[in-house]
Formats: sequence, C-alpha cells, structure tokens
Amino acid sequence: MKNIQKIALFILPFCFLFSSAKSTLIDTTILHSRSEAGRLQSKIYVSPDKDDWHYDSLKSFNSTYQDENAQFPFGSWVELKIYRNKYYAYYPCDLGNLRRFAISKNSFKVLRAETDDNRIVSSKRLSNWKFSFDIEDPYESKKRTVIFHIIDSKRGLAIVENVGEKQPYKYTLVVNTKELRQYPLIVNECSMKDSEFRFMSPNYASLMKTDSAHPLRN
Amino acid sequence: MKGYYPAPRNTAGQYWQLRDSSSTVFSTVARQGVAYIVGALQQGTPVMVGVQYHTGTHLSNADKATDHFIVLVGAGVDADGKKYFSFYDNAANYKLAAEGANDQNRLYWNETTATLEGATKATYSDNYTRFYKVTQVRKTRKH
Repeated sequence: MKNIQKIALFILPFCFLFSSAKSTLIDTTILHSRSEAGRLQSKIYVSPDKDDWHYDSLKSFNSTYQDENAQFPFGSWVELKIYRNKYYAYYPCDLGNLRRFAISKNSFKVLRAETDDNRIVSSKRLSNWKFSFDIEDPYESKKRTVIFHIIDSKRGLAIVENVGEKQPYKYTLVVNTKELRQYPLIVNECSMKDSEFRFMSPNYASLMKTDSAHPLRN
Repeated sequence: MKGYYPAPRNTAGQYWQLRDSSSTVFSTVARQGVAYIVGALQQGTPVMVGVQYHTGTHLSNADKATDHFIVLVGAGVDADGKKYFSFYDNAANYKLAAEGANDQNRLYWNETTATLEGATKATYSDNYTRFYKVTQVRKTRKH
C-alpha cells in the first residue's frame, strides 16, 4: 500500500504538468506560408491567442475618439472579413489595405494607406439601425453621403455604405473596436510588402435586411 | 525623406493626379507634375509619387488608382538617350541596398505619351518585381 502511495505521489506532479501543458498548447492554423533560404517571407495564420497584440494594433488608430461611452455609430470601426462563412478580424501585410473608420460628432475619418479626415456637414438618424452622414473632404470640397447600417449591436457589426459608389467601394463590413476581440484573428505576417489574403465577399443585401425581426438585429 | 513630408492629397497646386483608376493618363497634369519633379530634384529635394502596379480595383488609397508609394531621388539620361528618374523603394527585402536603393530603379519619362513608368528591383515578399506606372505626384514640404 505504501508503495502505491509513493508511486501515486511520484506520478501526480507529472500528470498535473502534462494536463496544464495540454490546456495552454493550442494549435495555430496556418493558411499560407512561404520561406526563402530558410528565412520566412510570408505566413498567414489564424491566431489562437485572444490576447494577441495584433488586436491592440488594429484598434490603436484612433486615440482621440476612444470614448468608452460613445454610442452607436460614434466610435472606432475596423473592417471585418469573412472566411468560410465565419467572421474574422484581419491583420493585413500592409495596414493600408484595411479600411478603418473613426466617427465623432464633427469628424468622419476614413483610414486606409492615407487618412481622409472628413468634416460632418449634417447627420440624421434614419431608424434605430440606420444613420446618414453628409460629409465633406476638406481638400476636395466635395460632399458625399455615407449611410451607417447597424446589423448587430451586441456583436458590434455594421455596414458602411458610400452612396453613389459601386463595389468594391460601396459597402464595407465593419466591427466596433470594443467588440473586436469577439472575433478570431487572421494575421498576414510578411517580411516585405505582399499580396493580401483573399476573403469571401459579404452578402450585403442579406446582412442589411430591414426586417426588425431579423435574427441579426439584437 | 528625412526632414521632408508630402503634401496632402488634393491640395491645389501641390498634388498632381496623372492617372485614374482605369489607368487613363491626364497628359497636361502629368507634364505639370513632371515639371515639378525636375525642379525639386534640381534643388536636391526628394519627391514622393504614387504608383499603380496591377490592373483591377485599387482599394488602399482614396484616389482608387494608387497601390504603393516610392520616393524619387535623382534624374538622368540612359545610354539610349531616354530620360529617367531614380527612386528608392521600401518594398524591398533584407537585401535592402541591393533592391530598395538599386540604381536601376528607374521611372522613364515618355514625352509623347506623357507617361512615367518603370520597373522596380524590389522583389516584395513574393519574390516578383513590379512594373510601376505613376499615378500621382506630391509636392514636398519641409519640416
């Protein structure tokens, strides 16, 4: 009996060690990888880490308007992607290839490779889920209208519509930065400028169904 | 471009849009832009230009025409008598000096077609070089 106890006491720490190791080791899903002469050129992967620093980097563009109490549609928004019918946050090879929006009472910023700091000329609440902004680029002095469609407030999802534009410039699926970590993250890690990962195009018509009973309208 | 920065997009007199999203060339504007480049380089001032390197849509920039930016740092005439501008390209890899600042990084100016085009030695991450067509010229400002 004493021997059994000794063996149990000997084995127990190892069992604990392996069980805890198992719980922290999560596989990274590699979607694409390329190396040259043993040096990584490009790797696209699904990050298993909810605390991944890329989330913070994606959100860090808008310190001026990081107001935790900001109500829809004010606040910061980041383009969201769809891959195999699931929503993903995406950290591109070049951040200029991702659209991000920062909306305050007077300013409607669009961030791509460059930042368009548009002035809000007027805004209207068209419904509980729809907001219209007449905006003006200070350099172009040209007004245009942007409609913000909230499609799921609990999950922070919205669609930005550039009125009068054609796809791919007309609609952008976005997520509020406060809800960004809800979504798994695809990272395009590249050593130099490279092509971005190709995602599915969202079905915007379906996402914007106006029926208030639509399951996405929470 | 240490000590310098480019003028914002669409600043009158400080920005020249040479091509649009479908690669149509605006020849008068292109000539004005190139005249500015020549004058700036003669003063030793580098000039940032936007370039297009693929067909189709160009999502990353507001002019819907530009894919990438490079910096013009010099000018010359090659052995065939063709005028060119030399550029630095940050899409180079770890062989930076051999690619990003390669002296064969040249954009050739065609007076007849009013086009400024050329290949880069930068290989990007996929080990392919690109052929650049200049879409916009930004006036250089000093800090």
